[in-house]
Amino acid sequence: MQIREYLLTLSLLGTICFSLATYLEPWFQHWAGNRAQSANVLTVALGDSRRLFAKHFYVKADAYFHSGYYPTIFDNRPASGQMHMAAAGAGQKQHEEGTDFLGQPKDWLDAFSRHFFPSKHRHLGEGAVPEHHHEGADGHHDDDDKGGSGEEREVLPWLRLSANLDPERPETYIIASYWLRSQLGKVNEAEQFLREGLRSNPGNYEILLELGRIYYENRKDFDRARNVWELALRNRRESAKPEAEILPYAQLVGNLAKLEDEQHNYAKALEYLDLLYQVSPHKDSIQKWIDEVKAKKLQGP
Amino acid sequence: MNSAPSLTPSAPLPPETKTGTPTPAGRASTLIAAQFETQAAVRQGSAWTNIQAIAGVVIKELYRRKDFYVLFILTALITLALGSARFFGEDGSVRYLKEICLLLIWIAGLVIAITTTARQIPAERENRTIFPLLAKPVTRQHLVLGKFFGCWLACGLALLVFYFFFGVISAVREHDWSPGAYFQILTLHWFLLGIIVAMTLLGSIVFAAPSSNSTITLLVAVGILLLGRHLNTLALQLAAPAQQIVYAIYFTIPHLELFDVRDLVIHNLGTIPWLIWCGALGYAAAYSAIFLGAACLLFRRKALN
Amino acid sequence: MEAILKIENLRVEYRSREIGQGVKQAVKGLNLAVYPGEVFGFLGPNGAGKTTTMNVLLGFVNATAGAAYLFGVDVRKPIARQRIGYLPELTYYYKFLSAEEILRFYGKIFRIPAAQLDERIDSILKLVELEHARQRPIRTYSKGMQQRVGLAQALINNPDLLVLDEPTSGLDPIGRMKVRQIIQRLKSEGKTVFFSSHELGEVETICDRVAILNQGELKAEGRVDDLVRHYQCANLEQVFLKIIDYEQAA
Repeated sequence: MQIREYLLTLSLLGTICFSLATYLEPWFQHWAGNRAQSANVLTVALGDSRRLFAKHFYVKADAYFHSGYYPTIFDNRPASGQMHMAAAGAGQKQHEEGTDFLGQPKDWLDAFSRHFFPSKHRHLGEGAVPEHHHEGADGHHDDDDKGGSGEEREVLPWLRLSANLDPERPETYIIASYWLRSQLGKVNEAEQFLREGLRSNPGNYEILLELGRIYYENRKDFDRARNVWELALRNRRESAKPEAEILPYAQLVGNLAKLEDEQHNYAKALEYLDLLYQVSPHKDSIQKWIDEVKAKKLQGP
Repeated sequence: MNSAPSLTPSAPLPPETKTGTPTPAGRASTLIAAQFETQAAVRQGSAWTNIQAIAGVVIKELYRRKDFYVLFILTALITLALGSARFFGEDGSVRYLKEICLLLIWIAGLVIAITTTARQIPAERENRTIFPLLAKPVTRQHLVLGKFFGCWLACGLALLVFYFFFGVISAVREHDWSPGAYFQILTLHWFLLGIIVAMTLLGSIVFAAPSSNSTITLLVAVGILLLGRHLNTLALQLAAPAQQIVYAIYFTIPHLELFDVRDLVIHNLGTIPWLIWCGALGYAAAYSAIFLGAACLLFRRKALN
Repeated sequence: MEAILKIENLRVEYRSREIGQGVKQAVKGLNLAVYPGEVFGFLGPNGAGKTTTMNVLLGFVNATAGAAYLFGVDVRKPIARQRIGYLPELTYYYKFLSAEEILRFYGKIFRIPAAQLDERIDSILKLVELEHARQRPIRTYSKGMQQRVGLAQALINNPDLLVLDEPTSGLDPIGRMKVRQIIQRLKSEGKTVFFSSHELGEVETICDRVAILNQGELKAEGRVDDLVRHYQCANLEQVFLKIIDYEQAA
């Protein structure tokens, strides 16, 4: 009798399980969170947590850029928390504020421990500890400050890994592309990577901005650069994102203004300079530029 | 009946029998007197000999088990696999490889140190090998110290192999190497493992099961490595009495993160001043001595079964 | 004649693990002396306190009261164990070591010089018939072989006193005979042997004197034939049973 009862109970449980599975399977196939639909091994394995890892590796690339001198979650740092690899983010003042997160040693143990981890601010490719950073109006580093030693390649593995884990982070593609083309001379790889980023982030204006720079600075293909930047501008206007992303917009219109200025399209240049004047904090230098373009326009061809 | 001979080193030996061969009684008295004569000399020499002998057995055990080889092969395979990767057609990146290799070495070092040490004394008690050992002129303190030195030296030998591999890999990729920095990272790592071995030994006397001891020691070690440096920052944000408690913990715990100089090696930031390096080693020796002292004290009264 | 092993008013108490049982006395006021050159049998039923007494002699356990001496030296000092050899009842040794490595390890603890140690290892392994397996790890040994390794490590320092706890336990008749032969040989060399055993037939054959313990107290001590005569029994086994039964009846 007992064995029969066990078998009947097991059969009942098995029937319930199979019924549930049959009922749930169609729902699961249509469920948005169904990772099995993805062809990406990492997506299937990690799910949405891969974004956490992607962020971690992106931060690691930034830490590598600073040769290990990097704040932890316990250290004071500016509220912006922007990564400033390739100076794609903060301006000079913010960068300096963000660098002194360690402060004075709090006790003898703290003072002693600073010998055992990187405690001086330095960038990849720089020899000594820099006193100041020189940045142009658009936030880029001057050419004089570029190390040119190729050490910037050290950030690439982490950026590649971050992009694999979370293809929907545009900044990963932008930063990697900047270092590839400007310091390592790998323009083709930079363009390829940006196009990969565009496939995952269709029409992203920041990626288009960087792509335009490749055509402008490296390939000297000004028409193509103009087309890409104009597309970026259109996408930026159509984008539903908040207006907080001022700096890339400023860089975009600034680059367009510079391009049109060099191509003697002064009317267009003035249009873009007007847009730049509205958002840039350096109104004096922009106004001076506007005056110069107006003067050139008056002079004629 | 002869009275018992005086048990002082200067006492005369009892007379032998007429045949000239010592009687059992005479032999015993000879032994007793000889015992005292040699007691002082034996005591001085035998402690270190016992510790050495026990340490030798521990090292033999480690290298006859598979743990070390498996960990080394895993480390080597992962490092070599990652080293063959190219990112954006660029094969000159080396820091990521150094970081991953050092991370694996650190994980392997922690695993070897904690798992090897956690089972030493419990295994001796469980397998009853402690009885024939303590039946010899070996004290419990010799046993604890012998196990410590055995585990620590075994870890040192393992680290030597791991860091040699690391040095070869980074030298091949970077076409440069820094012997001073590598020597410092190796010695600091070794002394860190000394603290962890001592801590684990103490834990093996306190906790009954090696598994719980391993888990707790690993959690404590990783916790200190991750948070130790920041406890004072954390304390500043707290109100009394939590602040005092956190400060007390901050100043009491062994700051294992001092010995983690991987970032200096990864980013080629040069060597630590040698005086500071000596200070760190002394710090490690002090904490190891504290843990070992506590282990010896606790083990003195511990039942053996 | 000075006793080579001396126990004076030994008392060993421990806290019972059973709730409400309080303190248990494992050994109550034991007085014992073993003289050089004799083979001394330490007998008693299970739980009589034999192992506890041996543990005190070997320094595994501290006495609650009283004292014990080996060669006139307090047993709490490690030097007291310099001239003894101990064979535990359950023989476990480091499984990853070979017989030769174990003997070399213990020989190093006794600070036997290397050349002398090599000779001793060879002769002891020959004595216990383990020459053929000297390089094999102990985990490949049979129970009998492991027992012989135990005997070998007990003899490595050429001890003047051998403490054997159930030396023939778990051995087949051939193994027991070999152990008996070794004990007799040691006796002929002037060694003192102190051992506990449940094999009363063997004890009767090889022991000069015996002590019978029951419930932590010494019940009888003396030469075997004296005890047999005193208790008017045919053999030692009957003496043993008479003492124990007598106690249980009382």
